[in-house]
Amino acid sequence: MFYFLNQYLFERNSGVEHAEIQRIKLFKLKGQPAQLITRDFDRHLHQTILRFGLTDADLLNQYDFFQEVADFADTRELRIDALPFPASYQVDADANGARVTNGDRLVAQVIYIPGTIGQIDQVQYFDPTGNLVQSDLYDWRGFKTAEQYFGQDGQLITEYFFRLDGTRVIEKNYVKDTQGNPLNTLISLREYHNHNFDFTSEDDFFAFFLDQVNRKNGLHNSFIADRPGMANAPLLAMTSPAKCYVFFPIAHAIDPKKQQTAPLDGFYQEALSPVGLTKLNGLITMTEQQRDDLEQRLNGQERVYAIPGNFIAPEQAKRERVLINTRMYHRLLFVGRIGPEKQLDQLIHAFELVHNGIPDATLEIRGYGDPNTTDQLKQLASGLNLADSVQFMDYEPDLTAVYDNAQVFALTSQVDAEPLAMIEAQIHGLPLVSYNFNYGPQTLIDDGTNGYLVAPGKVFALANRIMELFRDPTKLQNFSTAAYASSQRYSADAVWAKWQQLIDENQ
Amino acid sequence: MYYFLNDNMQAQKSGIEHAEIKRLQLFKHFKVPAQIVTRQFALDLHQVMAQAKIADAELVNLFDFFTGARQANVTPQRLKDLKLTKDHRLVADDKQTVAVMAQGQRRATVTLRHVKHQTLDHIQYFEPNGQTTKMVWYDTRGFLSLEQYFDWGGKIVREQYLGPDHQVHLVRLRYLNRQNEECESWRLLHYQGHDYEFAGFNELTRFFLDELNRRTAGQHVMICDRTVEYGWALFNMRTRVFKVLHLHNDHVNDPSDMLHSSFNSNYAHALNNLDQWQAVVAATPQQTQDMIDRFGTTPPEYTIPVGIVSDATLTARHQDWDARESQLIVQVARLAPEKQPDQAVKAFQIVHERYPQAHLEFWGYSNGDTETQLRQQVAAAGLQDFVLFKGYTEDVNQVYNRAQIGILPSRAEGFSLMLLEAQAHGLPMIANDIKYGPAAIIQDGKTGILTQNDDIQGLAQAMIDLLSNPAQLRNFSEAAYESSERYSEAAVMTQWQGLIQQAQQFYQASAKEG
Repeated sequence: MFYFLNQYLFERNSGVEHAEIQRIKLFKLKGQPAQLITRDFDRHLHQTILRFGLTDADLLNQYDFFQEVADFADTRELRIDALPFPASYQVDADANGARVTNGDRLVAQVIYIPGTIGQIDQVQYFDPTGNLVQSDLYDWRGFKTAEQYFGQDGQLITEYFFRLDGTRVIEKNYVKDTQGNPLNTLISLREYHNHNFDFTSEDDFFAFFLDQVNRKNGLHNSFIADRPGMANAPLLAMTSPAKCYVFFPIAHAIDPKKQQTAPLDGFYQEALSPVGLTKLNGLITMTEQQRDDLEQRLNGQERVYAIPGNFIAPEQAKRERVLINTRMYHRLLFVGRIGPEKQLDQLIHAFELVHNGIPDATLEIRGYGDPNTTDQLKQLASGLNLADSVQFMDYEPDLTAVYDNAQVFALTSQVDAEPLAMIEAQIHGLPLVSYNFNYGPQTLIDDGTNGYLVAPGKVFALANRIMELFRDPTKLQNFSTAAYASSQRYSADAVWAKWQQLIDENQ
Repeated sequence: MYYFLNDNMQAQKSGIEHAEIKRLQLFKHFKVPAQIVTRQFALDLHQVMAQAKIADAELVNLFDFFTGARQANVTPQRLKDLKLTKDHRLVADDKQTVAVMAQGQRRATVTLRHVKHQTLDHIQYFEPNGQTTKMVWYDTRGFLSLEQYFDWGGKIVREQYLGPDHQVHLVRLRYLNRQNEECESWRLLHYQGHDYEFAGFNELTRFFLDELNRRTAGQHVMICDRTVEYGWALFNMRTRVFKVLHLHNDHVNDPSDMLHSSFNSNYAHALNNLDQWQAVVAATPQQTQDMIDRFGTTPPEYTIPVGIVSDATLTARHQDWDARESQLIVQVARLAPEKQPDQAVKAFQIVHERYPQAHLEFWGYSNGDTETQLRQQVAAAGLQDFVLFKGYTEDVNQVYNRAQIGILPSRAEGFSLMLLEAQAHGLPMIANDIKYGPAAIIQDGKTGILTQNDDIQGLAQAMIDLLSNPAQLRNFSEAAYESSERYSEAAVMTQWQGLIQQAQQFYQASAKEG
């Protein structure tokens, strides 16, 4: 079994999660058992995965594992009538929840899962003066999963996580941190294999969990640490025999331009130390360039596999190609997480030039990110009188229609491990115009055939290349046709062949 | 079922607890179903009850009732049951306590109940910074029955009560009101499929009494021996039950003005709501008369002694007079101001001048600093060798069998079990003729002597009179044995019959109405 290690899966995800989701789908397509492991407690996880076309069997959450609900098959919509309030209590419900009173006294407040009709999310209990003393937390699948207790100052002191029979499995204790917020300092695992364990960090608990998963599944399973900040250390701390891999969803060194020599990113220092490397079966990058840089750095001490983080989904492979003249004219597209390293201000400035030359040109910025950056970008666009032609659109799991409606995909990032959206764009026949940064554009773009590589920071050059394509429909169509052809390197078979090599070499 | 309502039952029992236990034995003897009801939590409740020879089935404690712990057949939890992993180390702090260490940190301090058996009494848990997160406590029967959770301010904010099934059934929440005073509210979980919230212990007690009443079919009688604790709950019950106010002390503050005096604070609420009771029980004819004089005969008043002399005691061989310790005087009572032991010492001082060999022994536990003050008084009088403080004993009979004279210079009594028991063991008693008890128990000039309250000279004279006439003292002793027949089990049970019949009529009438 392959396990892909991550912290969480949100409704909106970054590249790591997308790479994992794609990987799960590819493994499933090829009949190779694999599961996505998430560490954090998340009562809505099993609802979230539906957005990404995953099933419960594709997933193993740490809390589910110990609470023995990973295979919970009896998913139901739990409503207020299933809660054990006595008949004499009055329930006053609205769209978001319900107040439960005993005479004049507010006893509890029921909160519904947003977007559902009365499905229980949590029940909060109050003392007679109205202070919160306890929250009962419910899993989306329809059972009570945890309780939280609060102190006289209203702060969280203890959390319990339960099995379905109501017995306690995990206890977490909280103290005040230096900012005055709850800090979890102790995690106790109770009655597990007839012992009571305790852990003083999430890392220790997660490493223990990984060993338990490995043991339960007959040892020698394969573990890929995907989210470096939380997965690398626990992976290295595993004590049971397993095949361990470290994945690179980011550039490995702190200077984007000096990946062979600049100091390593802190998350990789331990993994790439001599001791760390002895525990690993291999490193996995998404591009050949990063693989080459790493191999050079490590003097070939470690096997490095370059395996793309994305592939052409079978339903996309069957789809007809979309001709350029059926797409929205002069539509420029960016898809990705919105953050400073994407340098979207430069893209907007480039687009201003494009817009000056081609007044009906539009730019779609599709994705989510930190609100500050998004606000700054919106202000920039307004300031340039581009409020109508630059559209900020929200994240969605399936962007087929968005890609198929654009004419050019542009990227002005500083650094990346492999822009998955860029692959997605090429798969949908979009010519790519991008800065030449580490890593990704060099692999994807055959300069002058399926797109253009532009030196980083050259905003005018970028704008000119985009206009060159917009103004020449024939060239645009040729580039699009070439993009469809190039994207075949991401066919399921091509990507799987690389995984197959990894599997074969580590039998 | 006859339920005897009490707040708590501790190793050191006051007269009310003794009266209840005797009543329980009496009812059992005559096959009238009865149980003692308590509402306070105690780890050692069943141990205390066992020592008092009360079976689990004869006790209903509120916490036991809701946690399913009325009868618990469990294997006591031991140190090894903590199921610690190999990275934990046990280090003895001292004989009774063990530190659980991990990563150089103290994770818990375990206090053992029995060192030899390694059974658990309580455990204090710490998080890595040394803050206490919780304490857990084990019932003397061996299961974890209480968890206390500490908040960031180090206060216990939450107490969870568990049953032998390891489930939390009751939660006490401690919160602050606007005056920063600590208050409590309660949660009852998984009870008959529901979770209940109570704003305080009275509400919980009310619910408990209703459930107790509802739980079993049949006609129940609740005899309230602790009115302050149960008054509100009884008066606010949702179900109908026959309620009995059992007086254990004078119901007014000023015995010289029975008709107008303010109420004894223990009974004010009960008497202000007299119409809530179906019957009132007093232990002496004097108190019954005082009640009738003031309140009339509704609800009906019954005189039923709280003291009972067992058949075994009545038929036991009389203690050989010569086997008693010469000139030993005893006062068997809590060391409390209302028992006026200071007057006993003053009177004994006078006796001691005439009879230098005489001794005075105090038996009973101290309320507050009464004992400390008494010891100072005794020391000041230079009587340390003649006035002895013997503490609480479960075996008072051997005290009665050793002594030649018993004294009880109380300013007030409800009945005085001590008087009756002492007399039943042939001990001539000298007691103040106060409300209530001595006049009903002592046959003045025949089994003992009644003295006037605050008359220390009179008390001393009574002792001197008895000591100076050994033959008479001996006759008093024989008469004391005989007079106890009036309080035999059969005699007292006969006194209960009126109330029992009234309760039957109460339920027959309600059956007809229904």
